[in-house]
Amino acid sequence: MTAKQEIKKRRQTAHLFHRIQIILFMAVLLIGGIIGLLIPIRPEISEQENRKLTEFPDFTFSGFLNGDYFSGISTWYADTYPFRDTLMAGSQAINRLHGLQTTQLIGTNTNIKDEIPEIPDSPAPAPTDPPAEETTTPKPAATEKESVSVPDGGTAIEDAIRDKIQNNLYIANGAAYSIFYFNKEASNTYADAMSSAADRLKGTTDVYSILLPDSTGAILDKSVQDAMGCSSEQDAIAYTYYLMNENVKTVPVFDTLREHRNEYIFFRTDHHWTQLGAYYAYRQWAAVKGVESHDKDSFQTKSFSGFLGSYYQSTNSSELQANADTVETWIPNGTNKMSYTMTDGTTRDWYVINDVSNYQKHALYSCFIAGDNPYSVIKNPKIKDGSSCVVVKESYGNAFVPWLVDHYQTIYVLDFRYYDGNFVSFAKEKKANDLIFINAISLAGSSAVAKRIAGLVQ
Amino acid sequence: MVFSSLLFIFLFLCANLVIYFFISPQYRNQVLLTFSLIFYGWSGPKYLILLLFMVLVSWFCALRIEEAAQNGSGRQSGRRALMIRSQKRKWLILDCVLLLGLLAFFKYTQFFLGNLHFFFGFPKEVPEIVLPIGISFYTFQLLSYVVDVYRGEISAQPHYWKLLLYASLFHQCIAGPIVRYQTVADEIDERRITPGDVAYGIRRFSVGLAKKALLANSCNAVADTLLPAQTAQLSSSTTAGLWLGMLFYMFTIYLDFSAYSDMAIGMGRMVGFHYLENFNYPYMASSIQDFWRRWHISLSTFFRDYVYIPLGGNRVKEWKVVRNMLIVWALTGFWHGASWNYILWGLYFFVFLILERYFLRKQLERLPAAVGHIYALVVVYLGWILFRFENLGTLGAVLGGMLGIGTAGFSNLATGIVFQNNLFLLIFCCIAVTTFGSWLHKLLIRIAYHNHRIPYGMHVIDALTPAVLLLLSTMALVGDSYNPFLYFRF
Repeated sequence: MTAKQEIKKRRQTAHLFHRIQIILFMAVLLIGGIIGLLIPIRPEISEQENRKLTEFPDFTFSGFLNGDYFSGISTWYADTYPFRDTLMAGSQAINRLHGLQTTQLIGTNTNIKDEIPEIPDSPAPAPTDPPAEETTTPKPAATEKESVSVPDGGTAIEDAIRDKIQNNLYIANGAAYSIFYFNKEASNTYADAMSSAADRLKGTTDVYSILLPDSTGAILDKSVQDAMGCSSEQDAIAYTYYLMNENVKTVPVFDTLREHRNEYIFFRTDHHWTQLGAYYAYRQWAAVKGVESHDKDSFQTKSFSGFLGSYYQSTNSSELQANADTVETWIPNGTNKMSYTMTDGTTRDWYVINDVSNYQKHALYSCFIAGDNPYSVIKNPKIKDGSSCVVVKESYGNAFVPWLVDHYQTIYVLDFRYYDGNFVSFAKEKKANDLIFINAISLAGSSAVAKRIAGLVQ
Repeated sequence: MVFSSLLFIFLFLCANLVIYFFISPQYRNQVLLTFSLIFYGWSGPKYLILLLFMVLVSWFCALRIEEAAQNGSGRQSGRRALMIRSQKRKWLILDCVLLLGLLAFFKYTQFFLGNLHFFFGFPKEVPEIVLPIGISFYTFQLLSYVVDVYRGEISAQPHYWKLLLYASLFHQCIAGPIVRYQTVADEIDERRITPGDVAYGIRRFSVGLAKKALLANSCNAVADTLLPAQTAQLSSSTTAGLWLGMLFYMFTIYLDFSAYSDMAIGMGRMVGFHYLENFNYPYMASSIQDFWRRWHISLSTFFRDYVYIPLGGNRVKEWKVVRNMLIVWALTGFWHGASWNYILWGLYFFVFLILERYFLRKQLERLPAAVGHIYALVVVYLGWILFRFENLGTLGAVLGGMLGIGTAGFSNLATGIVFQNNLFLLIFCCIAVTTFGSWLHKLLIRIAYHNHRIPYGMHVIDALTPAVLLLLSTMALVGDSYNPFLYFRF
């Protein structure tokens, strides 16, 4: 072959491969385009993300003019693109190549972190305005707050809580830990709300505050917590308790949980505690109340395996996937029946501990008291003393409530995220013996939650 | 619509290319124009009216300028020549006043009123004005067109819709490069497209897309994790975290911006337009002057040709040269955004350019080349801090934080983990911003040709790369929309 022929041949081959390149690229583009047009196979929900995907926007003239309508279409197109979960898995595989990921930090932003003030050696401060005699008149401070509007519940507060839990995760040894940052203002608001409720219910209902750590505070080595730059959950709980007045019965659960840190008291793949963790807190509560706690071995148990909770969902981490949790439950002796009212007002009968063997693997924590609902009632037919209590909680409370069943004739459970009524009025109306606020410090210490609870005890 | 969205790639671009190549060549410009108007209108049809109007003004003024020039062709008496010049100038000024006036209104009103409000408490309320997308880019394109007609370098476009096509062409309308009319004037009417062109365009587009979807977005996420969004968040940042975060930001900003230019140049080439390069490995620069020859080239040449040289450039007295540079760099900063930090950023470079002009350049020439590269990188890196934080309070806090003031210590486990988690990404980006990739590609081709008469292996890799990059980018773009909803209820 002459040099000229060779050059010609090379050029022809190059042209041929240019054409192949164009065909390959256009094929991917066209296949992607056609798949994008197959509207019926577009997913409406994502199981992996456990959410409803974006809907096609409704047409409005103003939305058309300012571009919102079109940006809605763009979001819909991307969000409901067929084979979303498969493509996502591919994307996560790519992301794993970004570095060494045996321990991971997942977060979207740095945070505001307040110093936790020192607690003086003297006992808790006297309330600024102690009631001279037994009275249900609210303190002046509380009256001023009447004008403050209550932050919205539902989606708004769910979002705030989700951000709190989802951001800043530390994954190590097959478990995820949420990094806690102390917020002084939220602690003040929360403590004031507890004091205000206790003052107004003094003499009729005992108000208990249970502030629990999350797995970071309860389990993670202190040195790791410090190295991560977390605020101390122990100090934050102590400080928030310290701010509450003496009418609030505070339940010290931190040390107990920390003592049992080598037991299965928190999930690895989910932000919640286990029912065993809740048991140790329950024993502390019983001690503060002055009643005898029931031994866990006197209950029937049931467990559900393969739980991949919120931490797994938000990170999709393979480390977590390999360490799925088991949800162990203890069924109350008095009754396993309850009823709950949903946001739309309909009421259903259910079980305190429900069999969730057939549920999706991310939903196993919902075995406790039917998950999260605005209002639930448990009536124990074996107790007939007319005793009752009101539990105000977020989802951490769900694993705790079953332990209370054998202590009251009636238990009312209010989830402050969805229940819009006033907790103090509710406790008065039901003539409840006890009003128990149970919250994780990471949530009680976030402004959205603290303000919401404060708004509903005004 | 942004290039790095699924809707753009699989619906808009796909439909655009299919229709473009299947329709009779005489209607191809109409196809491009229609798609461009849809593309622009997607961000809000009301701003389309503004674009149409600004093009109309420029089209009309350029025609009047040319008309005046033609009336004055041939030998003219001094007085008549003067009159023609003033006629031409009148239309040029009208165009500049209208275009720059609109740009100033939409982009800078809020800034000026905000400052008045801050210093004098007047006006009581600062109105919120939405910036029409791409206005900074297409205003400059239209200005360059009218000025070039005025200078007689090009002839005016007689058809309004063709000028509209030039200004609104979706390849470059909203994020550059700032394509001069003279670059594409001939290609608007006549374009030759070879398979080689299309293949090059596809390669360029997919590399740009991958740069954006796989690298820039990931770097951006790391930067957002490490850098505080507001002053109060500094308390949970660490000093090392801030330095590392700024490094990722430095990668983000180049990879992101140059990715858009790559995609624009690639899409242009697919349909026969040859846009000029906008970046030339800026982080390989050996001085700040060199950096600005490599960074956003279309903007720096715009300011050079339409501001610096008309002011006299460097062929005037020394103090005037300094004045001209000051004007250009203040404007460059201000063009990037209506906020003091951008002006500071522009002036920051002015200082280094002056230093180089009078002192540093000679020193750098005497030292090993590495010194110049390190110097340029450090200056550019520090410059990005000014660029990142629009709030001057946060900017000050971060600068302090980088010196160890107000942070949660030098480093902590969290910073260490972020570093480990993204170590390979960091290394890869370090390589991606250099010429190493293209050097390696050329080397492999040379080796392949040396060993084989026809290097089929290389051809196969080259042919597969764009499709693979497109697939990977699609995954990453879907992955970016991962937004799990932590239920709590069922």
